[in-house]
Amino acid sequence: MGRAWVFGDNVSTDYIIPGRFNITTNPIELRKYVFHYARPEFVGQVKPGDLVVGGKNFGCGSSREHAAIVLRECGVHLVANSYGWIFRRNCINLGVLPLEMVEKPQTKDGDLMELDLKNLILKDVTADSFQKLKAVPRFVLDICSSGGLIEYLNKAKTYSV
Amino acid sequence: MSTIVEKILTKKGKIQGRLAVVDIDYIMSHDTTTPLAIEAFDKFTDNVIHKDKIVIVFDHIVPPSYPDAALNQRNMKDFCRKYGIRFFEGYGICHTLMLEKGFVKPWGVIVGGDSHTPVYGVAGAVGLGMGSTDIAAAWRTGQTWLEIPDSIKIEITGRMKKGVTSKDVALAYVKELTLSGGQEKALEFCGDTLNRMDVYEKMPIGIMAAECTAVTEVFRDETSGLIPDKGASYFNEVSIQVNELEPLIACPHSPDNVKTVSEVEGRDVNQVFIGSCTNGTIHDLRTAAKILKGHKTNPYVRTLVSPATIAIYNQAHKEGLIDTILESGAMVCTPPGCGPCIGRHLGVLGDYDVCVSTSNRNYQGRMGSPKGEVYIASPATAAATALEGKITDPRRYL
Repeated sequence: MGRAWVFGDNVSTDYIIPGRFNITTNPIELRKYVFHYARPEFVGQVKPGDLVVGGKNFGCGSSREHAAIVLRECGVHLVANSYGWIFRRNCINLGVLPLEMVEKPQTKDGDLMELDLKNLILKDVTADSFQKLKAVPRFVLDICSSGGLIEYLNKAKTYSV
Repeated sequence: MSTIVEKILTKKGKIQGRLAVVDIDYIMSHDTTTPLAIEAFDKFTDNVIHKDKIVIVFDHIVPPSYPDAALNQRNMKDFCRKYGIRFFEGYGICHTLMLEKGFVKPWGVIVGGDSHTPVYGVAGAVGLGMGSTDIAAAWRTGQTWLEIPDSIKIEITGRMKKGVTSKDVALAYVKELTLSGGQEKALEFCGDTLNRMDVYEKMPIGIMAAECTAVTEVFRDETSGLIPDKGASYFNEVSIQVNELEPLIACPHSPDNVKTVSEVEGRDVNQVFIGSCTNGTIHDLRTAAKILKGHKTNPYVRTLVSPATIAIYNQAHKEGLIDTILESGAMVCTPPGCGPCIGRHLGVLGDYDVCVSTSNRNYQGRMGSPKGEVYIASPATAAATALEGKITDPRRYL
């Protein structure tokens, strides 16, 4: 169970962490600037197990992996209608599953959420509603369940399709 | 019945359904994405590296303006020295440099630690923008994976009127496609307007594909055999007739918030920036110098001009453009880099600053203070704006 942090469409990587803070590679340092301008209360209130609920094209814009790193550091689950292509890969590569909703989320910011990863069901406990999430491709699951792309390749040595 | 992108990926890869594992020709990364890639690479349990495929460019913060950036860049050089990897520091902005140095060839596949990597389609290659872990994996394997994207055909036809440039054409299709219109898709550009442009004039059109979240893009090129099969199927088709196109401008805070310049003319500005991977070529400097020549920039506007590479700077110097620009009161910023576009250095916006920039993104806070405003336009519009101190239609100076 966790609370929902709801965002709209086309949330850019600059929105997730403004480019000017991407100078260090230290994840703990980077985490301080998550949604720095857009949702300044987020960093102090977010808890592991919370859900970031995006609209369509979540994580569009730059290729900077820092955006995926800060969300991983917060320990949140990621659910959106769709993602920016590079951001989605970055999440997979870091072992963060970019879950996709079929419907437009009715969820309100602050709602209590429950995520059933085994059956891919997203429950909004506050609104007493649920929806089925899209199936995740096998290849993507393999990378994520290894803990990320480097860990996957350390085992597999090469890509097998 | 394949699109051009399908043909290139099939030639370079092993395909299983829509999943492709492709061989990469070059792997480009810069000083923002390389440090994290090195950290990821160090987690590999063996030392295999495809060093001859690697190109590293120092362009985002050159020279460093923060101690952390300096440390990152020293680590990058240590890494390059250790493995014998080629790197370029102070030579220019990665994408323009990659084209200039001949790394981009028709039918090639290049991955880049930068979201504007799809621009290599201007020279007939599939460019894929990626994050640092993907870059590290490419160094290690020489390959990458992707789901083969469907294509959107963008046909650009007709002759541009005076005062209209390839940047205005780019803004026209971004407005049409919107920020999410290219999601999961490749863009295939064609049409007679493009046949009259060289690769550098095509750059704004190629760069802005990333603003529609396109996976990659390619420009048709019959001489290299880069043509789709007859009957190739497209997800969508967009047609841009440039005959009637007017100078365009993307208003705060989104690249697809496009209006005509005449709609927002008169808005006071504090900074003008002409440069970036999008509009820092010799064509752009000629366009700007033509408008600035014999005039003075408005003293209340900080006007910055930055050639995208040292080679372009040298050419501009030979043509007398640098003198013309300096005489107008504008500042010429070298070494070439990404500083102003990403709000790092050499022209950061303060609270309530308004900037007209020839770069590619105007998300809130992109060029500095989140209270600043960025308008994205052509070098012609930017130069005319620098003279007047307010957003100005360039046609009155041509």
